[in-house]
Formats: sequence, C-alpha cells, structure tokens
Amino acid sequence: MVHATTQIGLKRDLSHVPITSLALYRAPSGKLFVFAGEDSDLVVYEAKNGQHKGRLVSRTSVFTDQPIHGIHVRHGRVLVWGFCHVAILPVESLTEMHDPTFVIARATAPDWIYHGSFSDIDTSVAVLATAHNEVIPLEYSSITGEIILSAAIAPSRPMLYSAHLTWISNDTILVAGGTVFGHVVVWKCRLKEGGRGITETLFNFEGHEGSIFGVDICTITLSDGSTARILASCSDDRTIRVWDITEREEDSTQSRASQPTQVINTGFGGNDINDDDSTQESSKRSAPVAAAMGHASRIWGVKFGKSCGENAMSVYSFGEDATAQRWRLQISHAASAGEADVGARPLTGKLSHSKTFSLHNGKHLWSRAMLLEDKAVLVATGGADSQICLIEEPTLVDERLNGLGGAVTLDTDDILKGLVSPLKSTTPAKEIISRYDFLSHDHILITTSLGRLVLGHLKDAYFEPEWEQIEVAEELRGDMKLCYVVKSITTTAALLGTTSGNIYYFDLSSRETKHVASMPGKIIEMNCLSSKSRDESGNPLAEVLVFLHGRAESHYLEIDVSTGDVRSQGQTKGLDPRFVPTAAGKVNDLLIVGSRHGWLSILDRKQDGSYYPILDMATRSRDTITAILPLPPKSGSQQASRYILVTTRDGKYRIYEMDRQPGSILLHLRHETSPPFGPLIAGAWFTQDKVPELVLYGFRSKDFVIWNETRREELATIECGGAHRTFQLTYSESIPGRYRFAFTKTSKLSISSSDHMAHEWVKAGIHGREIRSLSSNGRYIATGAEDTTIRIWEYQCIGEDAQAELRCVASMKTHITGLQKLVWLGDDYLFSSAGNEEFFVWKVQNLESDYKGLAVVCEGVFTDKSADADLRIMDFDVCRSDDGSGIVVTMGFSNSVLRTYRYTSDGGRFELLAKGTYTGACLTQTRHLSMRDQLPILLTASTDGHLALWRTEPDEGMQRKYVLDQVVSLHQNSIKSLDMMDSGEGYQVFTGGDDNSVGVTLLGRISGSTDDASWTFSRRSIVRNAHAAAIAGVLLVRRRTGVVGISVSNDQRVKLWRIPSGGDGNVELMRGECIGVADAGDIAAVGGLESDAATVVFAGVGLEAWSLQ
Amino acid sequence: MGKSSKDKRDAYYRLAKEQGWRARSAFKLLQLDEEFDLFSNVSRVVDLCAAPGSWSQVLSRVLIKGEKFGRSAWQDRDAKVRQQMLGVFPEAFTAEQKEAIEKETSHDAAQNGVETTAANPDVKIVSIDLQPISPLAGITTLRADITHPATVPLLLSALDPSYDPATAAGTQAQHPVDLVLSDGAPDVTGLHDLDIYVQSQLLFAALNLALCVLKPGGKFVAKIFRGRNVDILYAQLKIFFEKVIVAKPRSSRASSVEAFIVCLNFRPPAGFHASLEEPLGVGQRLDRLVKERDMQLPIVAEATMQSNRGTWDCSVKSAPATSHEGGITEVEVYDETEGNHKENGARWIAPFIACGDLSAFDSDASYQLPEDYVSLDPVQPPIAPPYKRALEMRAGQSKTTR
Repeated sequence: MVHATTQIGLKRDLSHVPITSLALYRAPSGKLFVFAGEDSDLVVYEAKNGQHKGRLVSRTSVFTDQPIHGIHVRHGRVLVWGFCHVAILPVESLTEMHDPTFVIARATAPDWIYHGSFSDIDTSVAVLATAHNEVIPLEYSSITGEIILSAAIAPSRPMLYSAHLTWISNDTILVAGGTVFGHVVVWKCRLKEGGRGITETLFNFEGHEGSIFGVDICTITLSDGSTARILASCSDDRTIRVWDITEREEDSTQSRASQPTQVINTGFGGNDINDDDSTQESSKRSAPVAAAMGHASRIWGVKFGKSCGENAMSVYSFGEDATAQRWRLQISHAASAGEADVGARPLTGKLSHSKTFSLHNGKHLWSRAMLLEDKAVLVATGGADSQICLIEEPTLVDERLNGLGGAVTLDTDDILKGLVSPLKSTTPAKEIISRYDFLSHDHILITTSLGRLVLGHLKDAYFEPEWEQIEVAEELRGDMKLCYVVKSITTTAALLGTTSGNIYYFDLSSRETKHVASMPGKIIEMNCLSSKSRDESGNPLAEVLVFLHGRAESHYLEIDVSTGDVRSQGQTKGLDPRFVPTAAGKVNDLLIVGSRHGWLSILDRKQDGSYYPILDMATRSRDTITAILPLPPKSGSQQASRYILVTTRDGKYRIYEMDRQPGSILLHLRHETSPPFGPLIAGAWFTQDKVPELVLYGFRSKDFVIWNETRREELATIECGGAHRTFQLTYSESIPGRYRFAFTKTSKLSISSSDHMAHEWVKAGIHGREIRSLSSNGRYIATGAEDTTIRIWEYQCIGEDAQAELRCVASMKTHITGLQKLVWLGDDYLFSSAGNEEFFVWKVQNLESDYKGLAVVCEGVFTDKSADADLRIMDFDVCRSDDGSGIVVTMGFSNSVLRTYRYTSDGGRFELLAKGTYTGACLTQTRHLSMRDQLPILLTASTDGHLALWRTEPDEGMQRKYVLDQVVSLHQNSIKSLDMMDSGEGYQVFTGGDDNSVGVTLLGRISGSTDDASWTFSRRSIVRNAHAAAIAGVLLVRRRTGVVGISVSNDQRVKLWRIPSGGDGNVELMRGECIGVADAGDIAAVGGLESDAATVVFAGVGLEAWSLQ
Repeated sequence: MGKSSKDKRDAYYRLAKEQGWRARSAFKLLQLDEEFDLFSNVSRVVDLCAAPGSWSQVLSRVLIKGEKFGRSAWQDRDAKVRQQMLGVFPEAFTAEQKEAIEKETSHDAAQNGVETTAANPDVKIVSIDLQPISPLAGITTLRADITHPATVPLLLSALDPSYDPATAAGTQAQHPVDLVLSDGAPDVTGLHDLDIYVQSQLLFAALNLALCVLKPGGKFVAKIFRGRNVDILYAQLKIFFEKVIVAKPRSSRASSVEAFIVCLNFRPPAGFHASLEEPLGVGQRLDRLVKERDMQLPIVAEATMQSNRGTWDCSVKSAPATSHEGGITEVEVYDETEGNHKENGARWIAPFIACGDLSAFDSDASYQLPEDYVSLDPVQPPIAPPYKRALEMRAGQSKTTR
C-alpha cells in the first residue's frame, strides 16, 4: 500500500537508556567485551583501557517492546532474557561482526525470568529461574535453531524479586530465590529425562525485613581444608546478609526433611504467626553468618568476588544510591565443643566495608557483571544514567598495601629505619613528618620536626618507596626545623620556606640545599605562578609568590630553577590590610591574587618593581580562593588567554574574563558552577589533550576526589579523613589516572599512587534521574531533570564513520527541587523553572579558548515569591520585549496564578507587569501568542483539560491584570504537553493529554495586523486513545509535505501525525515506533527543521535521538 | 516537607484528614462511584489489598451506615465560584445544575455533603490485606496474601459461613458477590517493566479471586499502572467483562502513572473456570483466550486492520470516522502500524474517562490555607517501611559520632 503520508521515516541514531543487564566476556583473542542490555537491544562494546573511541562493536535488536534483563555468555552462545522472553545468539556474530545475518533463536516462558544459566557440560542445555521460584529447563538445538522449554518445576511458588541458579553437577541445579516478603529459599532441582525434575528444599531463611533484590552463591575452601557454600542476599532493608548453605549430614535427616510439606507463611513477620518447635529448630541454623548495612538506600545486587586473604572473600554490593561497594567477608567455623569434624560446625563471620565506588550519576545501579581472572577482578556496573563503568580490581599480592590501588601508610619510623645515618636525637620529642611536596611522580621531599630532610624515591604503586636522607649544612639544621612550606618549582628542584622567613633552594641532582632569600615575616605559603618562562639565555625560570603570616603584602621571586639564583624580586603593595592572600596566578605581566574572604585583586608592576592593585573585587564567594589559573589560549593565537579559572572553598569554580582597558581592567564573571563533589575545591588543571579537559580536585566529606569536569567522570577517590590536613598532589596532564596523593593523618604519612585509571567508562552517561524538560536552540540541547541539575549538550549527528554523540558542555546545579521547564531565548539565554518558585536566568557564552566548555552564569534569580515560596512554576514563556527594554517572562503557577514580568539583564531585575488567576486548577502550559502594549496575549492549558485565551486590562496603579477572553474544553483532564506553530492564518496548537489523547486546535487570528492581533479558537479535534497512556511530550515540525505532529507517551511509543492545515481534513496517524525512553517527559528538535533531515530528541528515563527522513 | 505544606500541596490529603478518612485514596473510590455508580444494587463486596482500609471505610459508610457522599465532599467551592465568575464553563452547567451549585456552595461546610439513608441489612463486605487493618463497623477483615492459593477457601468461608472446603466442589462461591475492588500496588523499584509486572501480578491475583466469587454481571475495579504494554492487559481483561474502561479520578495525580481499570458486566467466556492450578498471571492462557476472542469477532471490524497484510485491498479503507461533541471533532484513527507489535500479545486500548467533576479539588494544584488553619494529624499513621530499622540505626550512629 502506497500512501502519500507514509513516506516519512524515523530512525534511531542515539540511545542513552538505563543499562538493565550486563555481561563480561574475554574472547580467545584476549579482547575483553562488555555485553549490555539497552532496552530491547543487545549492545556489545570492547573495553579499551583509556581509549574513548571505537568501543561500540555491535547493536542487535533482540526483543520488541521489552528491555533485556539478563545476559549469560557460555559455550560461544549468549543467553538473553527479559520478562518472559528468552533468546540465544552466537557470540562470534556479535563480537566479530562476520555474519550480520545470523539468526536469533527465541522462545517465550510462562513467567518473568530472573536468571538463566547454561549447563557446564551439555552445551545445548540451560535452565531459567522464574519470578515464582520455578525452574524451567531449556533445550537449544543448534541444528534447527529452536529453543524448547519444558514445564516449570517448583517445590513451592512464592513470589520472588531475585533468583540465582548454580549447576552443582551435570544434572543438578542449586536454586536460590529471594522473595518479595524477605525470605531466602534454597532448593535443589535434579533434572530427569523429558524435562521433569525432582526438587528438594534445603533452606528457608528468615530475617530480612524487606524484599530481597539480589542473591549470589559461592563455594570457598577454608584454611582448615574444609569447603563451605555460602549465599549472600541484599534487601530493601538496606542490609547484606551472608548465609551458610553448606549441606551437612545432620541436616538431611532433621529439619530439612519436614520443610517441603510445611506451609510457608507469606508476608512480613511470618514467623510470629507460626512459632512452633520446628521453626525454632531451623532458626538455630538459619541465623546469618554475617550481616552489614552499607548503602544509603535499597540494595539491588550482591556478588561474590575473589578470595582476599585467608578465609576471606571480597563481596560487592550495588545500590539504588548509584554506588558499588566492596566488602571483606572474614569467615571461620564457630568454636563449639563436642564436634569432632571442624567442617561440620556452622560458620561465623564478619562483613566489613572496604571501598565505595561512586562512578555513576543519580540513582540505581540496575545491572552488574563480574569476571574473575588471575590478575584481577573485573566489575562492570550499569546505571539508570545509561553509563557503563568497568572497574579493574587487581588481585592482591601484599595485604599490607590494603588493596586501595597502591596506597602506603608510613610512620616516621618506617621512613627513618633504613636511613644510613639515623639522627641521634638528645631531645625526647618524637620526630614526626612535617611538610612535603612531590618533585615529580618519582620523588617526594619531606621535612621532619627535627629538621631532617628526606628524599623519597617512589616506584611502582605496589612497592614501598626508598628513602634517602639529605645532608644539610650544620648551620641550616636549626632553620630546617622551622620549615613550614615545601614547594616544588620544577621536577628537580624545590623551595623550602621557614617561619623564620628564610627561603632555601634544594637541587635534586647535587642534593644540595642553599639559602636564596629572606622575608620579613613567617612564610605560610608559596605559590608557583609558572615554571615555563625562560630568561634571555634560555635558562628556565620559576616565578613564585610568597605569602607571609598576617601580611596583606606578598613577595614575588623569579628564580633560576637550575641554580636557585634569584633573578628578580618584588612585592605587592597597596592592598587592604585585611586582605589575606591565599592563591595567586599570573597572566602576561599581571598578578592575580585571591584572598581568604573571596576577594580578587589584579596587580600591575610599576616602575619601582612593586605590584599595585588596579582592581579589587569581591567575588560571589565569601570563602577562601584556593587556586587561580589561566585558561588555555585558542590555538593559533599569540596572546595569552583572557580568561582565568578560580577555585574556592565554597564548592564552586568560576571563570572570569579580563577586560583590559587603557588604565583600568574589569573582570566579568562568565561561568560559575559546582562540581558534584565539594564543598572544598582545592585546585584544578587543564589536560594536555588537543581539546584540553578541565580536571578539578578537592574534598567530599572524608574523601579526596579528582574529577574530570569535561567528561564528568570521577578519576580518583581516596579516603583520607577529610580536608583539614596537610596534603600534596602530583599528577600527569597527559595520562589520565596517573597521580600520587600524599596526606598526613594521625601523624602518619600516606601516599596513594596510581599509574593509570583503575576504572573506565565503557559508555558515557546522562542524568541519572528522569529528564523533565528539554529545550533546543538548534545548536545546543538543554536538559533539566529530577536530579535538580541542568545540563547543556552538543549533539553531533551521525557521520560517515562516526556514531552520533552527545557531548556535555555544561552542567549547573543551582536548583534545589526537580526541574519543571527549560526554555532557550536565542543562543545566549536559558531560563529554568522548578518547584519552590525557583526561576533562574542563565547567560550562556562560548569562550575564545581551546577549552570547549560552555560558559554559563546565573544572571538573574527570581525573588518575588509567595510567603511560603512553595508553589511550582509549571511552565513559562519568554520573548524579547519589542521596545528592546528587556525580556518579557510569563509564568504559570501550580496555584492557578499567572504572572508576567519584565526581566532586565542589568542587575537581573524582575518587574511585575501583570497578573491573573484561573479557576484554581493547576496551570500546565503558558504561551505568548502576540504582544499588545508591551504585554502578551496568552494561551494557557491546565489540569482541567481546557485551553484558555487571556488579554490584559488596566488594574490598580501601573499594573495590569489578565482577563479571560475565551476558554474551551479539549481534553478530559490534564494537558501535559503543548506545541504550536504559526500557519499564516493563525496558530496550530497540538496538545497531549493525561487522557491518552492528542488534540489539534486552530487558533484563528481575528484582526490581521501583528501589533493588534486577537485570537479565537476556531476548530478543535481530538484523537481519543491516541496512545495507551498519558502523553507528556508533543512537537510540531514543518516538512515539505505539511506539518507533522510528534507525540510521545508513557506507553513508550512515538507517533507521527499529519496535522491538517486550515479547515481541511483530519488528523491522521502516519507512523508509530517503540522507544526505549520510559516516562518520557519532553521532545525537542535539533538542527534545521526545515531541511529534510531533522533530528528529534526524546527524553524521560533516558534519552534517544531519532532522525526524521 | 512539613505537614502543613503537604496540606497545601495536596488538597485531598487535607480533606481526608478533615473528613476522617484513613487515606486520601478514599476520594478515588468516591469519585469512581460518582462516575460509574459502582455501589448501586450492590450488597456483597470484596476489597483486596485493603490496608490501611480507606476503601473499606467508604464501603462501610456507604453500604452499611447508608451515608451518601455527593460532589460537595470534594468540591473546591472557591474554584466553583471563580468558574462562575469567569464564566469559564458555561456549556458545562444547565440552569438546574447552577441552582444546585448555588445550593451546594451555600451548604454548611461542616456537613461535607453527607446524607444518610436507611442501612442495608444484607450487606456483606470482606477486606483482605497482608497488613493488619484496624476494625471497621460491619466489615470482615482477613490478613492474607491474595497471591496465595490458600486465600481462596479463606475468602469463600468468610463470605459464606456455611462453606466447607472439604465438601465444596471447586472454588466457586455459593453466593457470589457484586463487586470486587483492589487498590493494591507494590513498592515500586523504578525499573518500569518490573514494577508493571509485579502490579499486574497483583491485578491478576485479584482477578483470579474475582473469577471465583463474582456473580455474572458483577463489577471489578482495580488499580493499574498506565505504562508500556498496558494495552495487552486491557485486551486480556476484556475477555471477562463486557465493558472495560480506564478511569482517572481527579484525586489521582496527573503526574502519577496510576489509574483504575473499571470492568463492568462480568461475563466469563463459555466454559471458562477459574483454576488455581493454572493461575492467570502466568503462562499464555490469557493471550490464547484473547486470540480466540479476536477470532470470534465479526470480520467487518477487522477489515481495515487487515489491509496491510495484503489480504484485503487497500481501497477497503474507509475515511476516518468523526463525530462532533461539544464543538470538538472526534477523530477515529486506525492504527495500522500496531500490527508490527503483536508478538508480545494482542493489544487493545481501553477508553479513558476522567472522573470527579471539574469543580473537584485539583490534586496537582497548590492551595492557599487560611492563616489560622491548624494542620490535623493523619487518621492512621503510615505503615512502617522495611528500612525503618536502617533509619533508626543511622540516626543512632550519627548521635554517637556527634
């Protein structure tokens, strides 16, 4: 059938949906593959340590309308399941892409499937575990390509939230099920001929107080030679429990035998109903071996890792809080008298927390996979943020290194014990480590409280450093005790500053220390401004600014890094005496100094060699400025960058533009945001990549964090006890993940080292919560989500060799409630609204720098709130006022109120122009139709399903009030989405309702001129049952053939509709597609809509981009 | 969120406390009743997943005590006045209605529109939940799992004291009931299709029980999640009832996926028997029934649907059917693209009805409360969550470290 309107096509180019299942597979070639379930597609990636490109290997649509919930790779086959559907695919076809026409075998089970596993021996046999505690034998014929499922086998049919199958012999499977009501059931299933099976119930553990979302089983050999089988479970009650499921002689004859006939009470607290002797008997055996509480919310999964020492196992848990956590399970047999056989005694144990991986955004680690290899445990995690992380956990050689990726903690004695000439101290005071700095990745220079200078040679992350004492001339030794600052100025030299005001120079090659300068006060900090400048003869120079205690003035030194000679010296003058310098930077000849109270001063060098302020400015931070660094210049540009990046203790970093004018300078704030750690940002650097990336570091409660802001990835997390301590960091600007971090904790020195990333992002992610609003300005897409953040993305279309890509260029976390609406005005303004009457105006700019981050600053904050400030701003519209005096903003509130303001960027003021009130129903849509007397004529929609037209009339004073012009009913209840398009004679209004309907309304223009237009509803049509669920996103696009309406619904369907022009014809369905985005909240179009190929973006739980063809 | 800000954010939460309901969901049932007249000629009712008991409370007050709840129980009088002032919905009211509105709006607020008629002595109401339900006048409460087979005989003997599981043939009630309700929902995980599956398991468990106890012509009302593949569920329910409607009361938020499936005129397929050995929630039995039923439908209805399979010439395709109602053109659309997605089961989109009239309080809107408004305590404290202990331990920990 050929129909004119069916020529339109939709093709999915990009998908970021929750990762609902994962598997890891090491091919015989040595390549490591990650199999991921992304909605109904099975996607294969190759893990390529550190490389970002070319990871995607293949994408195969396995099911229709059904996410993949499990993947199991064995015998060269992939077993895939989701809901009641199963499929088998050949591994090679997915990883090698030799044969794109391979056949997928599919079958349908009678119930939801939680787990599946191929037999170890018979490659054609597998079993499935269902949500009703059943086992379904599966037989696969590679000849016919058919899957045959046998009847379900079950000892009892409680409803499960998790299940795990383990083959324990060639015909017997151990089944573990976690029930909705907090029980763990363990039973054996022996398969017989013809798909029948014999069941034997082994255990029914009670104790969890919530549904069980994950179970895992493993067998361990204890140091006494006995083996034990243990089960781990995790639950809604936030606990992880480990149970002993070793089958022992005595059990088979006693309590177990009676269990299959026993009626198991369902519901929580079943044991208080049935408190007879038999349960008491079994409860003695059914106490957990160990239990622990770790995650902040529900725990979705638990898995056993590898042995990590004698009688110890690592256990990993995966939570709703988006973290993965490693636990150490230490077990032993209970000491009990009278049992000859040690192995027969019950197990006892302890679960202790060892590490938290917070590598995902938002909520929910929905999927996980583990591969136990000789050298390492590989852990893959997949989240609701569509991100896939791969963590490499090296198998530990030396337990003392604690397994924290090469951390070593040293006492003073540990450092001093190997030194050739131990300092014979007559004083009873204990020698402690004082100050230190890394010269490079290989060396650390340390001073002690007794004035000793020690050089540490650092090696492989898993070996202890070697120490060497530096001989210091006798006369300097006293001063060395007063050393307060160690500062590396190059990889071979450092400066030492003392509280007596002396500065010494240490040279690595000669191991010599010499005096270079004296200051009139206690030296409390030295800031290295640059180490790249050179003098006329090419000797490298270092510029250092020295801060003195209690002085606003600081001292500038230019030092030859190879000799320590001072080439020039200067001083800052004229600063406010209250100014406490804490950080400094230099751009060209200007010195920029930041203070403890958030002030910035720019100083210029005068004839006398001193620096005088030409600008003193209070920044938006009242807290300490911790670092100031110039942005990379634009390549090809001869000039230094005009921008500086400033980090502070208030948890934000800011980018300022220096606007130099004759005789003065101005600083304009261009960017301000907080990374998802903090509140203390200690510093930052730009990577040496072709497109430099921004890396920030600082503290999040007890952890030190290194964060790549450009990629939004946490590069390292080191537990150090918190921000209040001495610490130093050395890093590589070219190798991600290469760093050393030294810190002092309880007088001990700890050094954490890493040569490369311990984890990689196989797939980059988006928001980890539902996206509620989308807005596109053609080039950039802004997303606002339940996680209260706004992100701005650049969408790169699919190319010849390139996949479509979404690159995050900015992220703002200023809202404290979930986003409601985002709207662009041109390329440089973004507006956002949320609950609590939050409304912000964002100024967006590109920077003239190789750094590609977008500069975004919050320019206006809406403050005219109601007394309790607890309304939601459901929707708003913006337009430039036609007299050029500002921007007109109209907001619709959840209490039925409409308000129009004039926003002026100068000072970010909102001036109320008009207000009105609807019936009390929540206003869901607000649009400007046209302007009259500088005020808009409005179209609104609300939860009562009506559309309304508003105009203004004079009210008291200067203000005006909105009066209702016309109101018509259209939908049965809430109008959740609305888009409109000018058709020449009026607006076509396309609406999506909670009532499953789409509506098309024609708004006719009554009077012709644009200045004096008024409007009327001239025609309404509605398609009931357009979708099977609420329609939260609609969009109109103009095509050559006419206007097309696009709707997206909670039923996970996208539909295209032909929108009639004028009065002719009716709405017609053109096309429908399934999408992977659940709970879709909005639609936006990217690129030129008028052209033939446009891209439409859908967002909700996930985000997909489809091209219209 | 403070108690009083919840009062403003959620009008039905506040109304429930003011009118003595155990939960705001009472209004959902009242508004469903207003639309579908659920309680007329009804004397025997089973309420499933009943805790904390607000639906049973509605049953108790309406069927046993003979109270009547009109629109005024949930009407936003301010909104009504403003609607009239603004002349917003002239087409919505006839002259008599306007008079009635006037009468209602001038009604004493303390009465909350409650009228009392004589109580029905033959009423039998059985409520079941896993959670204990505080006693309600005239209602038999059972603590049981509706997904468990053992619950059927339990329910049957509660309905009929004479029922003897040892002698009774089958699992059909001797004296069937008129109405089965289920407002049950699981704690959602956020994994949409799993939540929908678990919710459908509750629904099928409720339906299974309904098939055992419902009389022909009886009604069934249950909560559903309107998400992906819900149209498969609608098609399956249509096997057993003449009319299947999705209803969304005004007291249920538009931002929630919750809706109610209202199934009227129970008429199981010939030869169908509820079976505990083959429960409805699992297996392909329902899909098979849907397909059988599809086969029996007159072929004319399918004509345009079949055109894309090539068995019918496309010229058969008729112009979209339209009708005009209240100035709105209703467009019927034949979805030819849906044929592609039948492999997961036959689909059918049930008609949607929003219920509770337009002057009802809006569950999505924020309301201003009088300055002297005193926030009331809930009638029943919420059920303790499974992570209660975790919260307590965390609180204890932070105390000791402080």
